[in-house]
Amino acid sequence: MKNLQLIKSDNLSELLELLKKEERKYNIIAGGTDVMVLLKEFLIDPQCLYDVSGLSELKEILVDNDSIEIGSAVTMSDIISDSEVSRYAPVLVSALKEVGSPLIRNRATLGGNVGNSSPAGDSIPALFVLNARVNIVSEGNERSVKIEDFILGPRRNVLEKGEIIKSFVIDKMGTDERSFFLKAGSRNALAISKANLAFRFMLKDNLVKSMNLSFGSVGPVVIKSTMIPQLFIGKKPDPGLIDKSCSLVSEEIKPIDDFRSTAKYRVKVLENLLRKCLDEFC
Amino acid sequence: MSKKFKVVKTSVEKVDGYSLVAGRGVFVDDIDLPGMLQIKMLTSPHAHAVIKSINIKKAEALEGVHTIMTHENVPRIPHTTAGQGFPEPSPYDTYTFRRKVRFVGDRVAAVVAETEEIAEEAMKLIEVEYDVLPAVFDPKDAIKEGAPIIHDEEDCYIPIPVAYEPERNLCAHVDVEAGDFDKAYAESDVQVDREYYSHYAQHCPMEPHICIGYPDENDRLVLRVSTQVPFHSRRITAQCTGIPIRKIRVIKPRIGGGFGTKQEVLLEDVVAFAVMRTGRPVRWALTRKEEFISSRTRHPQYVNIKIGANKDGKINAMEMKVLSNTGAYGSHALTVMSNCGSKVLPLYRCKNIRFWGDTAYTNMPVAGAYRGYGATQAAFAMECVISEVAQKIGMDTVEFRKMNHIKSGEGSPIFEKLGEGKEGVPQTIGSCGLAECIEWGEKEIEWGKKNPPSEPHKRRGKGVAILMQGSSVPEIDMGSAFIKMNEDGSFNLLMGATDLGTGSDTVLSQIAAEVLGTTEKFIIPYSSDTDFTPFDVGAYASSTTYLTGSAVLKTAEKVKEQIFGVAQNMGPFKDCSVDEMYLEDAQVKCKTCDKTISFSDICNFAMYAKDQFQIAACESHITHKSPPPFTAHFVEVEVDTMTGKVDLLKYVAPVDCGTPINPILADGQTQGAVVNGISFALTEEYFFNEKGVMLNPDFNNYKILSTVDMPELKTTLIDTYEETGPFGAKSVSEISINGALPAIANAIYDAVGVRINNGPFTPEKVYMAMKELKK
Amino acid sequence: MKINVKVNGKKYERDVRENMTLLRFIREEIGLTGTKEGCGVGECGACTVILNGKTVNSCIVLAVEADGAVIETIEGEAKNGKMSKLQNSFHEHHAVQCGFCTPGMVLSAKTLLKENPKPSEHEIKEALEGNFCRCTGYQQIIEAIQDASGQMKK
Repeated sequence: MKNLQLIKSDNLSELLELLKKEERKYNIIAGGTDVMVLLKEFLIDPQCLYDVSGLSELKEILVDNDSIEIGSAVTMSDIISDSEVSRYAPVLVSALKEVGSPLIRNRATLGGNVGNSSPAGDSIPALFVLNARVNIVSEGNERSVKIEDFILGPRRNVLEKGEIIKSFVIDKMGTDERSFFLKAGSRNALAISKANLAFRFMLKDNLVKSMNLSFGSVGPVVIKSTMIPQLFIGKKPDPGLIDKSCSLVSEEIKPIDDFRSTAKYRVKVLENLLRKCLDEFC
Repeated sequence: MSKKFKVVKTSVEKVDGYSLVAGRGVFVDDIDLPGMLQIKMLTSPHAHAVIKSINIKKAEALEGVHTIMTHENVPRIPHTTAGQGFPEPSPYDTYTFRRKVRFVGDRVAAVVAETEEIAEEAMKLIEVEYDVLPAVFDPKDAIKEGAPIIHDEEDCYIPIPVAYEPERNLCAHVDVEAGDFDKAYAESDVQVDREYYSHYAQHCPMEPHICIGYPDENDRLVLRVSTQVPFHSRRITAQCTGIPIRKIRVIKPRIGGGFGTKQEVLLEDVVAFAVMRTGRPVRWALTRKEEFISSRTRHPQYVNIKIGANKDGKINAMEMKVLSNTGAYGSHALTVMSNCGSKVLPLYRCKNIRFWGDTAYTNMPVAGAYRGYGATQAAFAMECVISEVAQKIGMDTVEFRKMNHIKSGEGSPIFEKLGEGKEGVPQTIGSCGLAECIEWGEKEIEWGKKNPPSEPHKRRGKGVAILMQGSSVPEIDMGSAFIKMNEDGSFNLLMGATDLGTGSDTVLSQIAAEVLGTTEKFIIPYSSDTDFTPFDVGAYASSTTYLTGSAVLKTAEKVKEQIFGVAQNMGPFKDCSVDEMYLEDAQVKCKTCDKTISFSDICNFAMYAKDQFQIAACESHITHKSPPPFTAHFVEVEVDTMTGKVDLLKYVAPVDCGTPINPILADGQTQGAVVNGISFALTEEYFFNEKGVMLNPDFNNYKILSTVDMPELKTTLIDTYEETGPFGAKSVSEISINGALPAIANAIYDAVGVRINNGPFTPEKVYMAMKELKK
Repeated sequence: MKINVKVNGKKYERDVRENMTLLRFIREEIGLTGTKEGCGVGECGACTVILNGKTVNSCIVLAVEADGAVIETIEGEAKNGKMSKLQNSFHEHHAVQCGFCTPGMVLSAKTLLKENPKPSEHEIKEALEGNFCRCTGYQQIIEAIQDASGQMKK
């Protein structure tokens, strides 16, 4: 690994100011679980690193009436062990438990997982169904984008020079809502998903009140299902509807063949994972 | 059968246990030498190419670069990296640097620099022009006419008289037959003919290969190597570099696992050249990625089995045809392939047997020794086909095995016909606890009982595989030991045998202690250092306990005689005959009188009193048999029909290893081997692109089992006594890696009715096979 | 860049290059070689150390990121030359073969038992899932931890 400068600050505005002026190639580093690997493998070649792990503004979890704000530099372990996140966003906790190992989760952050924008990042499908918004800050500016608009492609996102992810705002799920994160992989620990799905669902008077569904690891970016929720909303789920929804999976996702899996298997297995969720709830 | 022992057959503490849990074990990399330089290897991006030109000028000019080695400035000496006895049964087809690269990851240039970072920078400055040649990746294609020839150089050869035809990519060939296979097969009531493929896999010791070299004060070359074979390492390093053996010392400190990949002399030649050129200490450590790509793998193999049997369940005819892929170089190419036959075919009683084995060169990563050594690959095919034959006859697959497996007192024509690079050694089976293993396993897994699945979309099934291995290579391998006595009654036990984590230092200490009437705490084992310890072939072929253990036993017996002799010269025992003396509680005792002399007094007398001499002995041992350990593996699986995922619910592995010298250590060997086998069967897999580039050289994508993947695992040791082994011991380390592939495959068939003939049994493969079946 | 750390209770101040990993810092600057490198990219756990109370892969943490931190390594586990209960248990259960993964295993187990003194078998497995061992097959390691937490099934 080559030598490079690390710039650290415990003051957000100071760091943003430095970042704005920065003319060299840089990367943001928080826990380093992705950045360090990319550096060691020569997959990125920055001249300096900006360490955000010391910024207290990025390390808070705030809960209000209908949303939760999670700082981008909160570690995954801290999110998992947060009782309110566990209660109000269990699907995120399930997804984060699938990331790496305890050793990784003790360092890895949500900001890193999303900022890295890997198609196999397990947290992202969960953020999709929680209608996450990404709060982005830069010197003198703040903006917020929907998670599905944030990620542009594999390892590409809307962050511009000088910008960092400050936090994520996610829905606080109601007590009458249910959710699931399911993953198909060969083994448990450290497995990178071959395909996964996040599912959030509410029934009222036997009718589907709401449904959010997203698929991960099946295309260049996480896919938010539109057709399947449309099919169900306002209806009473029955076996016919379930069959029909499963047959829509192949229309919604465009997986590719790679060494981890074939497109054909990914479609089939997601159909089955979806069926499993629906059978459970309906 | 059961004999009384004091130290042997007890689970004494591991002699290096405390230092290792304290983090004080000193591995190769745990020393820091002043001025130590670092090596980085530039490797080939092409699977097959000739280096047209190589320009190192810019790289050499970089500050901090000391020297760069390429095929242009390093002597070209054909050798093999296989750390085997001399002359090796592997072709001399390797050169420290080569003009032609033969796989993606092959050596091109070594940079020796002040730091790894500088070496990495320098690597980028080396300009290499390649003439890319057509490559061949599958062994079936490689031996076809017109395939690109991988070893077309004139100076490669194999140093023993066996088939070697590099001009058609045939690296090794063996065929033997007993009886008349064709006739017996044709006349059989039931015939099964199947091809299985076992895949690429890597050993993944937690410590990657590493070597540190430095000149000592007398200008001898010292190599600290993570090796299983220090003496072969010394010999092959001398061969490659021209440094005389007397000027090389190889030290094996604590080793972080080997499993066969450290039976290779992989780094030493380059480190030796670097030390010669710079006069400085030099370190070369492989990264995990390099470990996957450029070290060694298991030989992938196509194994075709034909079995003919009668309706009454008797096996008439067996044929095994192996096509092994050795990759770009022929390390262990012949012997791994031969072992497919010699460690699997004798398991079943049969008069008409044919074995046919070919090993092909391809432009793929280089295979080598890997725990199981061919038996893993062949047992997969054999044990699946055996089950299929039983099912075709309509017999229970366990009953069929019980009826046909070899028993004590029986032999196999294969033992005699198939050896390692030559004919084998005839032998009849001595100890055999296979029947007891099967019985124990059947009970533990509740064979014949079908359990309901945990969820409606899941299916359960059970599978079995029975196995044998060997214990050392008979009449080829040699081990020796040296024991000397100290004034406090302790003994130094010096061995060339290499403990690489297996616990052999402990086991061999126990054997010495048992003979010498003391405890293992009074034995100080040291392994291994070519300057101080006597020769041993090293830790491979399941040999250490059986082979070196016997050498230790003989040496200790010699020391015992000397102790008796000294005792007789000492006052109290003047009138006692040596026949009446025995050793117990670190004392010489006499059966007829109740006098005793302490070891301490014995040693002090020998050293300081009269006719002074050092009580010490060195003995060697070769074996004339390779008694097989036996095991029966049983597994219960649950297959998710929605995803194809195979969950292991329970895995059962009783093992007959003769007398377990240290039962907990023996059990640990079984457990480690089983889990490695399961990992190989379920998840481990190399992925390549169409250019022969490995796509997943990291633990995120090459998945080895971790704690959360563990099934319920039941192991036990079945008590037998092998008359030819030290205190009745046979080997234990390799055998249990061979069971998971066939046992799980058989269980998957039992659960969902699909026979999967190639590993690993990934969810996708199982799912797609189930879909195929439905059609 | 100058950093201050406390390793096993002892304070160190060192000037380090920014690209130095915490692993190399501990091994080369502090001279504690019990922490091992097995993969270099945070996938095997041989380099596990406890950083401010949490286990991390020290091969993918920069030393400069650990400025001001409290670090525990395997060398800090034995106190006054006496092995800890966990270390004794690993030794007694032969949970050690080659010993290369052992320092990391012990530290992950230590952190688990601190947070959860009576973990279930499943919890033990989850806590150790980032620490690979190729020798033992894990069973004797799990038993060692069960015993150290006073829950050995006899």
